[in-house]
Amino acid sequence: MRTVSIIKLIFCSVIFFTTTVQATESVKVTNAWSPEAPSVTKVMAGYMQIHNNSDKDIKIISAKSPLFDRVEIHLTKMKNGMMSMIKQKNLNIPAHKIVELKPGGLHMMLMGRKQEIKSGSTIAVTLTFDNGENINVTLNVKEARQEELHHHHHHHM
Amino acid sequence: MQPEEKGSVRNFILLASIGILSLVIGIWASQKLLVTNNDTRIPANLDATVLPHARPLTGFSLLDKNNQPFTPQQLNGHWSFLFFGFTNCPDVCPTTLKVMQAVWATLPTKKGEPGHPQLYFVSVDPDRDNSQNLKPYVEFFNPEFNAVTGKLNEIDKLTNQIGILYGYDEKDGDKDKDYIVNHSAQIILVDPKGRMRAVISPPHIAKTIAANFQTIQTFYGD
Repeated sequence: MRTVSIIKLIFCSVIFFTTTVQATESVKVTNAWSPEAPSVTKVMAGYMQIHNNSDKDIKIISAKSPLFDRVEIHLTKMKNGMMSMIKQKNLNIPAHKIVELKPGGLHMMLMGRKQEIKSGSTIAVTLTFDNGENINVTLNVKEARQEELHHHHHHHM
Repeated sequence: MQPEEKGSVRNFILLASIGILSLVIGIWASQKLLVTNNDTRIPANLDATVLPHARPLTGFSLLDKNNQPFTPQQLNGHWSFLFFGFTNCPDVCPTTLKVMQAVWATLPTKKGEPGHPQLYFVSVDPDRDNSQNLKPYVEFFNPEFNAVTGKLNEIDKLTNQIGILYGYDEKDGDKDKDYIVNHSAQIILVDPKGRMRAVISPPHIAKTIAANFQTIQTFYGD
């Protein structure tokens, strides 16, 4: 009987563990980072790759971080000759696809920074999906290197 | 000579003089008034869009990161990169400033040396940006960089001449301080006479911008 309890305990721990790490069976987040920003601004960007390894489309419906008042996802897009940031209410990650958040495209907008964040530190963000899953993502704060900063525009004005 | 013939000679000399004078004036005038081929030649094979006729920038009055005047006068004597944004911009503006930081690292000149350019980040969001926050913001990327802003109607005097667009997304109730500003992302190159000379459109790649600038600077001179 004790063995069964222990097994149940281990089983529950494993389930609990897997639903809160940077990966679940269906979703994995890689290369999560944020460029260090001037300390005079309270807004930072987050970039990453979100992998959906499942057979179903899933959506990110919200995001939050203990270091910021608000976290949103925006798309940088040329509109009427101007760069526009279009807030994404939900971010759809199609089945078996990778959605990339990168400079000049989709990005996480972290607003209302609560404390100083320097390169070398990390930012914890929790992504909530429409299937009820939560994923904790750790953004590495870096000095941005030039190679990571190409604007990828696949459309013309 | 007969008196009649003397008159004809005099007339002839008069007409000839008028003729030569007209020719001389005509040549002088054509050199001064017509644009010669040299003025509209542009360097070839560039990603940047070079204007065949440099466009003088006039009549704006803004303040820079040290609260000093930023007017057409400040654009004289050196090449300048101008681009437009706001400090609450998480993606495009910091990314562009990082690219320009990389461009600066490749420049063969140092600050104060002849041929060394300057950079001005123009904030189109004077409600939230002023010299107090613009100075540390832009100097985070390079202490040489300058940033300017001012009253909207003065900003418009500059953006209208260049063709830069900007606008505010609807302010959203209690999230008033978090509004987004939409803005053109072109980098503008201004020559040492304070005239708009080239437009650098996204994607902004440091190596390309640096190479284009060298070509343009060599072609037109300091």
